[in-house]
Amino acid sequence: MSTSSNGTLLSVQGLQTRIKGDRHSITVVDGVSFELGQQQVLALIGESGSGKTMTALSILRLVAAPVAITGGEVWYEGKDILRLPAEKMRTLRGRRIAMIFQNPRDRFDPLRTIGDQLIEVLMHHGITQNRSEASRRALSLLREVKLLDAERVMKMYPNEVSGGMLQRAMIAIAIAPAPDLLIADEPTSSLDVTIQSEILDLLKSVETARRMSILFITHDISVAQQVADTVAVMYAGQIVEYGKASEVFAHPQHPYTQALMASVPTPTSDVLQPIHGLPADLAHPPPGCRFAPRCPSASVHGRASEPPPFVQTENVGVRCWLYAEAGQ
Amino acid sequence: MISGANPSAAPELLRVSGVEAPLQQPGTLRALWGRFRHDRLATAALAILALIVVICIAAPLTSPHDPLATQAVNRLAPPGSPGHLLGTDGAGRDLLSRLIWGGRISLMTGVAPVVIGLLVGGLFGLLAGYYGGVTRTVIMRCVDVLFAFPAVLLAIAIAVTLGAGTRNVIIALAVVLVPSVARVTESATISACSQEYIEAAKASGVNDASIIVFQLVRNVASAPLAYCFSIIGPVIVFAAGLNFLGLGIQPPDPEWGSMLYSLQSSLLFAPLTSIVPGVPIAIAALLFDVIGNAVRDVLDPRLA
Amino acid sequence: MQRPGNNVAPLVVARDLVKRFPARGARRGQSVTAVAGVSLELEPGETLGLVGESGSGKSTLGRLLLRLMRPDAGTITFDGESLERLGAGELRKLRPRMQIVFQNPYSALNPRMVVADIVGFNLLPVSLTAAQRKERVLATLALVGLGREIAHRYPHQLSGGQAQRVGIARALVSNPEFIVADEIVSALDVSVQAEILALLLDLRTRLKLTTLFISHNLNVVRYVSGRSAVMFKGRIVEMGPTKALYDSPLHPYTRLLIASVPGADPGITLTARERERRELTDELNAYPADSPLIEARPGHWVQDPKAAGETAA
Repeated sequence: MSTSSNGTLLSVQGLQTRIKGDRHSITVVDGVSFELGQQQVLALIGESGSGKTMTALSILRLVAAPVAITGGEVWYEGKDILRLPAEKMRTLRGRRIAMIFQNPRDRFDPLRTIGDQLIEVLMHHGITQNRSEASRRALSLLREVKLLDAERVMKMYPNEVSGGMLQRAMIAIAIAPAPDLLIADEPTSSLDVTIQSEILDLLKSVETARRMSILFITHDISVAQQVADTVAVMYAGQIVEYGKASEVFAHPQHPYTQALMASVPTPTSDVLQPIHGLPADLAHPPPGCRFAPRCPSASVHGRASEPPPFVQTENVGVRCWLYAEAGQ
Repeated sequence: MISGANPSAAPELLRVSGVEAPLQQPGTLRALWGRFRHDRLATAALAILALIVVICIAAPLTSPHDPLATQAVNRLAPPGSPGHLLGTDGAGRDLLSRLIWGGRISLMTGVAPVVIGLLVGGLFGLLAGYYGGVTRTVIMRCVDVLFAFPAVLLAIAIAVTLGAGTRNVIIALAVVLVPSVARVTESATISACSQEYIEAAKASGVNDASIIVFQLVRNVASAPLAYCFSIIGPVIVFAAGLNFLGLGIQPPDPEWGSMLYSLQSSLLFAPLTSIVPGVPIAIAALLFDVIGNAVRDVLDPRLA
Repeated sequence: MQRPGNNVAPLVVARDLVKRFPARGARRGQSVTAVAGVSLELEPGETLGLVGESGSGKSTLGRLLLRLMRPDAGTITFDGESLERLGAGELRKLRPRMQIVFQNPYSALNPRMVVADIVGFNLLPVSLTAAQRKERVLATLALVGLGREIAHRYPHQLSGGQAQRVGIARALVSNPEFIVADEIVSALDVSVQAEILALLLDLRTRLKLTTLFISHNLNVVRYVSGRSAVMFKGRIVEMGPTKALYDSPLHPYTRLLIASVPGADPGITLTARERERRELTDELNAYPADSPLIEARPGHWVQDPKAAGETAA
């Protein structure tokens, strides 16, 4: 399932994460597999409850009880990082694999200046040895993320800058140690559309300039269309469609992908088709395909048993009985 | 095409026979009581409290001795003495009987001021928080004036002005409590009023009184209620102080707090006896506190 | 200023509305002008889309129209009645005819009331017997696609889509003529948004509602509104038939918004888009903020930078 095997940066195989409740456990990430190559943007698309954020947090092992990673492997630089000792994982996190989040305001210390926090990251990861060097580096990072008047921003506190500016600062902090991989969890969802456009372009330009890869998590298909090379669509903890972005968007195969695209207004939409029913109850998942209760093409097969993982068609993989049966 | 809600995805709690409105609607008294019963500690506390109340009310039947009967011989007898389960006080009177008879006054002077304080202080806090502006300033500044006085002095001043007697002690204590309840209610009200559902209520065209009664109170009540339950114990002690000063009941009438005060001087040579009246005060305070916590939890539908 | 299309008197008329708020944070004593002189009209049965980003004043404008806030200047007329002249009691009597639906369904519903009471509360100003009220509540819930079993649930027991439907039912139960929909789909999952939008379209045809549809999402506004207005920093900068606005936008801010929609122009390169953005932003900054609106094309109004400083036509 790789796009270019020799350039694979991250390979997730059968990742499984569960939340242990009082009465039942919920599998929020159920056998997720994908690969991310060098200098590539993979968009993980899903609505709330699809497991996309949990997937990202699991990759970085940022989960704590009652959430636990219960299966699968995550290969990075020839090692399964799920099995790395905590110490090694800590050096990896932030330095080689960085993450940015939806609401930057929650991620900054409101009592320290932006400059201070950026300097701290630089010194912590050993990028610079002393404060003055860190200060210079910080300034150039702020300019790289196109923060105008970077000197002033260095001395400002998080509550003194706008959401868009803070998000840029968060990107600066994330790329400061020159990571190979950036995980971006809905980085623009809480921003105005004009700012969103700027931030998306910024991420793309940073990706190219620094030869990074980005795992971009979003619920917004049009955002994915703008930034992604590859796309994975998630539903109820599983990836249901996966492949080259242009292919998937032009010819969506899985009924959920099709339904999702048909339910979002675009400049050319005539009629929106809502998706019937409620999102799958992960505590009591349906016996067959998770999407079957809402699928307009659900077959007896789909309702009874889970479809086999992935049927390949050209550049796209689909997890669906419609294609499994056809393929046979 | 409108897709309706999917009833089969309903949480188990409300899977009722689809016919008419279910008998047990969450929020009706019966349902609330059902939820309260789940908290076994609180239910036990309620049972014990009820027992105490019954015993005290039925004093003529339950009291082993005459609470006023003095005797010169067996004074300051320790608990467990023959014929006197909890001992006797400095005048030889049976402590158990005095506790039972005194309980009526003690519980009354503990609970009544709190109820009055809750109603009056709660009303002030609601109005101040809901209307804001001038109304709020006027109410809260008046409340602050009361706050400025040390509680004890204020209570004494009021009780002295009104004259001796249990009723006036209750009034004095209520006045002392109103500012605290008002403040707690006001801050809860302000935070509730910042929510959109109150804005929606105001947009409905319904008059303010109905908004306050039907929408606001239920969201604001748990803060002052919890506060009030927890303060009954201290108020009983406070009332005791006033009684001790002669502002409330007159000796030799029994009352837990004043009994405690008058036995204080015997602490060194009759330690067990002199703390006896403190025990029901502590127990009552604890019981009310536990019940108060459970009431607060029961009123929150999200914890159902 | 805006002539009604078919000789039907507009239902809602706003003239020169201004609203200021005391500034928080760094500058005390100063005020922020949320709405800086807005005039618009809504004809009966139409849906006017109001597009803007944060700080544009669109939500404030919505609330001003319903008199949930007092304007610092300007007038609002509802069905011919000037709202300024009404006393508190008369204003309350008018409210059942104009309602609002909020963005976040969970915070807009009283968490300690069941659905039936939440919706039924809005019927209190209408004189009905208890039985009639119950009937009406159930009928309205059915109208928005909710079954009877929802009536006894608490908001936290509902899904996002269900909760938003309850919010809509509450707004509709008093048979209003005018609805302000303030970002009603923005807090919902993508697939649920479509449900609610479909519901809205269905309802407004059936009930002949006049709607002010506020949103930051151009695509959504385009889907539901026949006419749209774009707000920027407290002013309407462009207003007209939605199709015209999107196909041939005149104001640089409108053009910036359209260009910023992700996936708007798939062919464009990064640098080209950055350049376009920069040009539009420069053009926008050069616009005097208080330029009045002129009718550039029939029904299509836009700020005219050359007419700044003159009194509005």
